[in-house]
Amino acid sequence: MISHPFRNTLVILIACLIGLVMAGLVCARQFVFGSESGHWVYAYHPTTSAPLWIVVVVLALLGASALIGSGRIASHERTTVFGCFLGVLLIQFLIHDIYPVPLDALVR
Amino acid sequence: MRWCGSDQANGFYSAALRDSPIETLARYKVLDPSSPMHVEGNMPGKTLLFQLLEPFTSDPRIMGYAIIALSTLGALLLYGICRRLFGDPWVALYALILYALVPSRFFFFPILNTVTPVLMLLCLYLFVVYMDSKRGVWLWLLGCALYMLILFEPSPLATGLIFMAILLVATKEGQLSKEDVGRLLLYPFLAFLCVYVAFFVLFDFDLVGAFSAVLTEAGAFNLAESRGYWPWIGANMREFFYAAGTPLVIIFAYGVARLFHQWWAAKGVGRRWTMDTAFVMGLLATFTAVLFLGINRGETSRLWIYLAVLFPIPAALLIAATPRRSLLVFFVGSTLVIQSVVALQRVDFVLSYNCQYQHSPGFEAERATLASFTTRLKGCAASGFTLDELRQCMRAQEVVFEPYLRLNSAPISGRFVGDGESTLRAGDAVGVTIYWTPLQDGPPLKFSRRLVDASGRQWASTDDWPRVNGVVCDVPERWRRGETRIDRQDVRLPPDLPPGMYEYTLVVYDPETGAIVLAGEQPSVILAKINVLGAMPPPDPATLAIPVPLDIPLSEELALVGYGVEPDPLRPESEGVLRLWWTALRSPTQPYQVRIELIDDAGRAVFSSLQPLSVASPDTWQAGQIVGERYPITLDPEVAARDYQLRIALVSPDGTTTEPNELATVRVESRPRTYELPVMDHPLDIKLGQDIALHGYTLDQAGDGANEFHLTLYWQAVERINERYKVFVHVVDEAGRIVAQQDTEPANGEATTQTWLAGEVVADEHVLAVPPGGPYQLLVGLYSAETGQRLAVRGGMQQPARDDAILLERVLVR
Repeated sequence: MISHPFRNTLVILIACLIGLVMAGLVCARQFVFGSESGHWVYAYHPTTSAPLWIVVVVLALLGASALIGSGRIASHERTTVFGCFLGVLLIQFLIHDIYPVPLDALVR
Repeated sequence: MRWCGSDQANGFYSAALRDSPIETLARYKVLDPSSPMHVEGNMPGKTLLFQLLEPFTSDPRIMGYAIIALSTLGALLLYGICRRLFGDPWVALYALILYALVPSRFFFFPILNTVTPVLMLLCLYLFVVYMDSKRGVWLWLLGCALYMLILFEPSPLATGLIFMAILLVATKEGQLSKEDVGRLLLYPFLAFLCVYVAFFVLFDFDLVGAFSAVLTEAGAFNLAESRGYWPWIGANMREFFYAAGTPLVIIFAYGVARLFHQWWAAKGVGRRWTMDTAFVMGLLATFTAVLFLGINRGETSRLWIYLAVLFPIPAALLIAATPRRSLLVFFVGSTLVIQSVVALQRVDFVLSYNCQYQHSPGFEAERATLASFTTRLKGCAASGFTLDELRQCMRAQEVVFEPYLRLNSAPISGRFVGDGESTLRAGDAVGVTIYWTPLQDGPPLKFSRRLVDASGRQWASTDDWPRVNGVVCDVPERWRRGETRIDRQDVRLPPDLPPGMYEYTLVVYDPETGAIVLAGEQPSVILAKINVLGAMPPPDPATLAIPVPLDIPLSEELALVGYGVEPDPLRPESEGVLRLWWTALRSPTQPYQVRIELIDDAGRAVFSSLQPLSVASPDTWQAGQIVGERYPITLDPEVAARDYQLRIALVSPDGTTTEPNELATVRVESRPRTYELPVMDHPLDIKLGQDIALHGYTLDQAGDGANEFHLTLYWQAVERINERYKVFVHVVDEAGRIVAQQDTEPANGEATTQTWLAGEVVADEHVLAVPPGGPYQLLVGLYSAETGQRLAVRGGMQQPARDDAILLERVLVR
């Protein structure tokens, strides 16, 4: 599974590309989450806007976790893991803010 | 009891507010149908989690962040698992990062399915730590964690196949001896047993019984929701392909393909299983098993989060083995972020199921449906029924609403009392899930559900568009002919509804024209007959919409707590209703009657009636019961417009009458009456039937293009009329087709014919929008509101009447 580095890289990049195509389908509302014949479909709602700064900060945090984390994991394992954990926690809080319903309303 | 949660998206929260942890466990065995929908079909662990969080914060927003943080602890556990299994810090780090970016977790924060993986990963982590350290304490903890996992959510037990694959490789590679394996099987089992017994003894909670009930309900749910097996094999895969993160699933598929290829290429001793192979093949086996077991049909974005969080591991293994791994993990992570953001912006993952739906009547119905199913299941479990037998409960009730719809079946739901499936308490919701099939394109139609008593009086109703999976489906173009659709709505029984038998009926109509779509030859279909008992506990009178609250004991058994008249003031033209709210001081021992009188200043009764106290015998009323009854008041048209005294008395079967109680002054108003014929553009002298004459009409054209006609007909009653007649005004083309019409009672219902006095002249206005063209014929007449039979037309016309319709004139529209 871990041989052929070039082929592996190519597969990963193609997988990302297909992932983006899938996101495009959802963007165009052409992807069905569920099954009409199975009597359950998640409905599409009017598109809400995602503040650009959230996307930028999320990608910056992801970049920092991936790049800095990769460089330091061997030498400062605990610190790196802790830092990456905080980074991804923050990413999750930020991305959830995009959802049009406040967190407290969802809990209740 | 603290019942203050809103249940908008997570019923566990309000259940946690309602009960203490001990009550949650103890109540669970009765599968209380008053619990929110999700609480019923899940193990109690999710409610317990909220109860654990409650001492720290009562702020739902902070609870939401706490749930996200709890769910993210799984990333640390995944790190620990990968670090120990594969010994590579990069693999572990990338698994940690990608775990946090799995789209389905974002879709459902802060729903507790996002926390499920933490307990599953904790079990796996303890298992892996034991393999490294061989210390028995980890196995004891593993047994406890396994109990907690099942208490919270048993679905991840399917990942046991991954445990087995790892165990096989570890044994084969000599990492575990036979003694180690023996301990691995024994210690967790003993720990699990200890916790099981402790919960059973201390909290009266049977984990195995609860698990069995949840499993049975999952099957019943699929049956109730008509979620077939085969449609969901492909649909589940498709949904999971996105929700688990498309790049992660593709990389996993690639890994599986490579492993099979390597295994096939290797011969004999060359075939060697490593830990990454074991993990990937175990994950494949788990996914296949979960997919084809078919327990989860739909909603896999939410229900398979515990599976989705394992897919970052194969991806991390592959990424860590490439030269530019940090860049690649960034690419994969960014793709997952984009997939998540795009879907969160557009798809109602949580909303459609909860928030938006909760505000619709359908939500209550779904809750009631599930509550009903759980109640039935309790009965089924006790009686040893099988799911096949349960299927028979879904009675076929095929009715065709010609020509548009076929109603296939309509199982009733609610919190049924006792063993019967038709006895409910006032104040509860009664729901009907209608399985219908569109047959032909047609106009948008509305469904009106009504609760009526034996005398046809309506007590509660809903009037709404049909829904498909909770989404309003009013546009015929969206209807796919031949496909079965599900529409769930309910009617809330008023808490002061008098006990007795009621019919739950359905009327389908075109809201544009008001025309009823006949079911066969009937205007309505009886979906169910319901026996209603008094609300328990009885409602507080202060919470009821009683126009005039009172507190007047009329006998030793009954007191009046309020009254109201509808309409206020009363009018002879429309049937009035006197509403009386009674409370039983003790359970009534005899079937009383109520004497209702309206008394004028001279002490004469202008209205007097003796009516049963209630539709059903009041001996079913419990002490303290509040009942809001309705008594019709039909006034003679000649009753003068003025104030009258409303007088009430209770009459016993032996004729004993309580002292009449003058409740209040009631106002009667009447429409202005005229007995003089006005000047008309088109005088006529036509008789309809014996007692009605049409003396003429005026016709004006107005509107854009002058296509709007204002027609005023002048009727006169020759004698008092006892029947109700409707006026029809039809505009027909030369081929006899109706191009515009209006069918109403005279003066738009303000002057119904049974209120006409002898000699009275009634001006009856109609407005018609007529399409351009013509010439058209303008036809009018009268027909019985009860039978539809037209009144015979006689004399005074330029042309003889055809089908008892009077031709007024020919019109042209530009």
